[in-house]
Amino acid sequence: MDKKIIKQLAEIVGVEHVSDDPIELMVHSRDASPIFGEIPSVVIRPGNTSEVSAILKFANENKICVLPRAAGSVTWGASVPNKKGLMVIQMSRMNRVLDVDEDAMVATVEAGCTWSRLERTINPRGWKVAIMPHGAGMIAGVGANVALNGYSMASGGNGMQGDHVTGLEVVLPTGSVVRTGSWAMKGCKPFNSKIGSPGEITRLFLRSGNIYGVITKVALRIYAIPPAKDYLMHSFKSISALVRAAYKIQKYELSSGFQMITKEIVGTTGWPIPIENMIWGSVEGCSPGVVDEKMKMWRQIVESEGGTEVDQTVARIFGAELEDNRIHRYTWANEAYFPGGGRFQILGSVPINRIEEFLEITYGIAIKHGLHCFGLCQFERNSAHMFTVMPYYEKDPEQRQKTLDVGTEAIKAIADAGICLSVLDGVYSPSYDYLDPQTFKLTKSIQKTLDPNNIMQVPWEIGGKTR
Amino acid sequence: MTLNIKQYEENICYCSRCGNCYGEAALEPSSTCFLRDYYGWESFGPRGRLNMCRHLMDGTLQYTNELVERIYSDLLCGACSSFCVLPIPHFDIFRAMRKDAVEAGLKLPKEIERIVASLDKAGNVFGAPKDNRAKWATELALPDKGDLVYFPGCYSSYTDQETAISTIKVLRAAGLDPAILGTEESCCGNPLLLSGHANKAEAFIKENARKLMATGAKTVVASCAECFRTLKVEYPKIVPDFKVNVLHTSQLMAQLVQENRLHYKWPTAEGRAAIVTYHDPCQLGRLEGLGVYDQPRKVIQSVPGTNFIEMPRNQKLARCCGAGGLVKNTNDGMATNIAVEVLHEANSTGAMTFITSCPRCKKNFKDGVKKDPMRLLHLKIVDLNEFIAMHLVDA
Amino acid sequence: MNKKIIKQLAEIVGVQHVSDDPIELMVHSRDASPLFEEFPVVVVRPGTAQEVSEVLGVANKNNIRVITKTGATTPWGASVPRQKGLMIIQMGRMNRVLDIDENAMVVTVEAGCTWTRLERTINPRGWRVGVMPHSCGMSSGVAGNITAGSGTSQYSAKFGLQIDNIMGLEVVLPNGSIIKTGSGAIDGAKQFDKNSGTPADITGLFWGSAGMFGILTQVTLRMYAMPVVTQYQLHAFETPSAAQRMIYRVQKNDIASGLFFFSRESVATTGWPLPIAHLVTGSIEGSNQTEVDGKAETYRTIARDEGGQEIKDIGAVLGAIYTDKLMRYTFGNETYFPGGGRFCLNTAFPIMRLEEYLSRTAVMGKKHGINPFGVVFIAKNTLYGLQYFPYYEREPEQRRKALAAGAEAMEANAAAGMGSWCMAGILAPAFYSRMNKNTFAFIESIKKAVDPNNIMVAPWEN
Repeated sequence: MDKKIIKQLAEIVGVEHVSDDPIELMVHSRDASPIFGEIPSVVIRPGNTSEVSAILKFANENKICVLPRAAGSVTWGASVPNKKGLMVIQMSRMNRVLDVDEDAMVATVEAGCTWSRLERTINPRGWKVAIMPHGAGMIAGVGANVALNGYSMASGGNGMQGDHVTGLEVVLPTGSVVRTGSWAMKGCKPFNSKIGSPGEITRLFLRSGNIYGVITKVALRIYAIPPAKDYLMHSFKSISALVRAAYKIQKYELSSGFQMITKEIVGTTGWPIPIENMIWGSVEGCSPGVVDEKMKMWRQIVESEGGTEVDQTVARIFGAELEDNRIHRYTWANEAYFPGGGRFQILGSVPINRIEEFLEITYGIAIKHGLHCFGLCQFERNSAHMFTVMPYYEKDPEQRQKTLDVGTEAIKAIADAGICLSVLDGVYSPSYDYLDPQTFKLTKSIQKTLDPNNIMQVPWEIGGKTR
Repeated sequence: MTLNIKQYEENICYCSRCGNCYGEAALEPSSTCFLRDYYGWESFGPRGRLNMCRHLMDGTLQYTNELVERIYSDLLCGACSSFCVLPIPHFDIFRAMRKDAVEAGLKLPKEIERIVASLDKAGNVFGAPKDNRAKWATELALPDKGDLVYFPGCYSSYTDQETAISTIKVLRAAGLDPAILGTEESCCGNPLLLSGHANKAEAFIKENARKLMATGAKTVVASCAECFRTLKVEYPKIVPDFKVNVLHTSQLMAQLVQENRLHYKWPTAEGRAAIVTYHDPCQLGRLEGLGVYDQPRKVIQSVPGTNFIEMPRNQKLARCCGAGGLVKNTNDGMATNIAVEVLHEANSTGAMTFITSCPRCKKNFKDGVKKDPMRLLHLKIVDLNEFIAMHLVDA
Repeated sequence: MNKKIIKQLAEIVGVQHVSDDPIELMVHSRDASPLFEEFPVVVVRPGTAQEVSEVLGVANKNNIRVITKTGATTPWGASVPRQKGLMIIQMGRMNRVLDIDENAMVVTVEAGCTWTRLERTINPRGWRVGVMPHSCGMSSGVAGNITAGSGTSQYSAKFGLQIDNIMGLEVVLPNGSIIKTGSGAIDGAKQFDKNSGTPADITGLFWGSAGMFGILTQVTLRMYAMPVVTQYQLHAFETPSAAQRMIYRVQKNDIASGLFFFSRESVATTGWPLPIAHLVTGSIEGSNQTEVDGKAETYRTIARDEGGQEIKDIGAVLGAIYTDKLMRYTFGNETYFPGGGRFCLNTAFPIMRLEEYLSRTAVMGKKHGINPFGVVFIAKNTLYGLQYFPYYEREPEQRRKALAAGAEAMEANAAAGMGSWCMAGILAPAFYSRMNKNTFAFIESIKKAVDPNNIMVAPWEN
């Protein structure tokens, strides 16, 4: 990048927060996905919203494309540059917890604040967030999970991350700073995202939050740590029976956390449990009696479908590690269960009765190509968010390439089957072929209005080519 | 011109325009206002009409011929009131609009003019010879004075004589000796109240009241729901001395059942298997809070072997047959279509016999059967009195 | 309106579904608000999304501005023309329940389907919607509740606002494009999840935006299983501060499915055989009696702690609020005031500001000689207050006072950092003047992108 530009950027954030060092740039070409992206031209670390605004104004004037990122812990390549000459805006300096409003039951943080930091601030006061992302809680920024509208196994009873956002501060591509929800009103705190403006514009920034601007602050609902909670786990010989049980559990809204893990994963864990398909869930309530009653119904449902209860100790340990671990060490790396570290995740969202179909299609394709795979899903209210994971050796380029190709074939196969793809960028960019053209046009027209100079990286462009 | 609607000024202003009157209440396919499926336009519904009343009272709208269809397309069935949560007397207000229309000299539908002319000429809605009014009773030798007087009304006198004859059969079987006014009887006056010719109605009411009181009657019983409502509610308003006890035949029959004065034939096998259902006429049940629901049911269920299944919408929620508000006269096609819809609902009960207690309802339902014979011909449409009569032990 | 245009519209929807009859136009100048507004120039009733699209085509071509309506039951004037020359698109014909997907636990309906029709279709199968709007279920359309941004009910405690329960939409954009939001945007995929299907979640754009971004033609809503066991509670509080503490603790502990607050003044107008005090009523649901008893015990303990007096005989409240199978309840019930007029002020604020809100609105009312009364919904962490400033419709001076009192209360609440969840009609002025300039510019720019010919009336106009 032109040295004059670097100098001007340094004037905005301070010279220690801009880098065009080749090695620094190189490490920003990867995130937690299989993709090797383009190498950016500069990495910049703003410390506050006005710096972000100044950076974006500057990028507009100089026609530099930008990509915000915090931890880069996205598993499908949303955090890596997809064309040359990009500026990566590193959000991790903006990591403070700004306000904990117990009356409104809302915590406000800067976008780069990690989940760990947030939880460790509010847990001692008896609060927690609803959706603690499943992996990378120690480094993932709150803003990123919001921008991608993430979910976790707590989604069973708690929905998606976006459901808990009560307001955002966003810097639009032109540099304009907007606040959404009740925060948009002078003197109002960010306690509710559905008021304060016509249209719930907060939601525009969920899913592919990058395209319409850079999220700088997030206001998130906080919830009382439940007075009572317990865990249970059941194994099933047949997935169809498991699915029927899971449907009823969701229909009667018994779960707080809820996930399914296939026997393939169980096989790799080394846990003292049968190698079968499992469901694991957490049940919360205002008293132990209420929790007991919910679990009673849960057990009745599961046993009527032929499920067998696994030793509750395992379920509780799992819970402690996954849901309640205050250190939040758990990452999807735990799930790689496969030395060598690479994984391609095929993601899709289905109604609960199509879980088997998803597994059949994706497993079928993997097995056809001689690849190993394993599946799991996180239930979210009326949906199941499916993951079929195909691991590979990072050090084996051929295996890596094969996995990517097979993964892409699988994505197309599930889209052809009318299954909704959860994600539409990174390795999922083929999904734009399946997106209704009029809806796509609307998305692009809003983007064009907000970003007339087209400086934000958009997921439907690969290597500068638009789908 | 002093508007008749002005006496309801405050009630009209209560309307909060919530739309319950024009909304969707019960089952498919219909709405609270049964005309919504036919017109759908705001100004043809109760909420729109109340809105118009506001403008009429404020002087920003005048009674012109453009209003006529909107005023006279109303079934005046009271369904709007039954879902309204505020004290708004829709039935009274919309009749007051018709009164205003007449007083303003608007061009009424020609069928309305025809009814008024028939009543002027012959004292009945058909314009048929006055002398033929009591022809149905020729063989029956009914007295013209007594404690109990039967008021058949125009329909049962001229076109639905089976109802009148059955009524007498049942009453006599119970040991009663009803009298009739015979050719002295005139129309109860309700059609004129519905058309907005209140002054003419008053004349009919006064005349009939005088004659009924002259019979020495303690009780007047009517087999027509409209006559019943008019005699019970309207007559005392116009003639304060009219203190006769007014009953509908279903109420009297229910008493007779209670007193064990009706004796039935042993049911046949076919009779035991047959399902019957019952339609609640608007003017017997919902309107004015008259609420005559239990008695017809008690009477029906007193017939041994009867397998009675309720209509999906019944009692206060019952659908109007389609003939209300003189719509049968001004828009026969639509009235019959509504009847067809109600009869389709009756099919869901599995009934073969469809009972009602109003001859206007009965006529409209019979027309409905003719309109859709494929699906409705199996239904036998009968008046309640006919139903009882056919099951009585032969004298 | 130019007869040629009427003819074109008639060719699209059928001549029986277009009207420029002066009386029909006149009755569309009022809705459930205090306003007496302009007459539209034409009312059109399309039967399909394609017809909506073509009608908008005519509007675009001829620069005719448009508003949409179904039941017209918002008490703040969102459904009346506030400028001359408007076309009203009446969605009441598009009223079917299209698909009940029990596997995905969603139901898809046309925009004009009423809540009553929807509930009566799914209830017999053991399902219900989360937020059955508090009033006018018989006349208001599903889409209207979303477009107006008003979706609260006594079950918002658990289910939040209407938008929280919407899984996807079909919308006709102002330029006539028909789009789907949510998972249905992916060809071949069913509409069951609003969180997938598109980059950027655009469903929310259509919440509370008064139709300016497009006309909803289909709505997909979550269905929930009817609760196995339900128990109702009613408590009386002497002070709003005690009531707000109770509500806060109940919400914090996530105990109740339904919650509703009647201020003392509104209880006084009902004529119910209940103490004249601030009332909180709750419904507690669960899968069996023991679970519900457990939750109810916690609920009652909290209420007692905060000084609430339990009322055992709750028949009147139960019937009106919870169990009326005919869903007759309307805000008309709440008017409880002969004469019929009301300025309905909507305010949204955190739970612990209930007392402040009530006292401020009372002060504003008193200033003008009006005694306001109201009810409050609870949705998760927010209270949604409806405060009525009543007046006799036939007394212009009293009407003026009530409107002035309401407007002043609205300004005062906004100045104190309270929000409104319905920013249209008579509720617009105080809020648009306070909106963050950049946010407003942002919304305007989206409107421009989506509606280049500016045919959809925006809620901040007039």
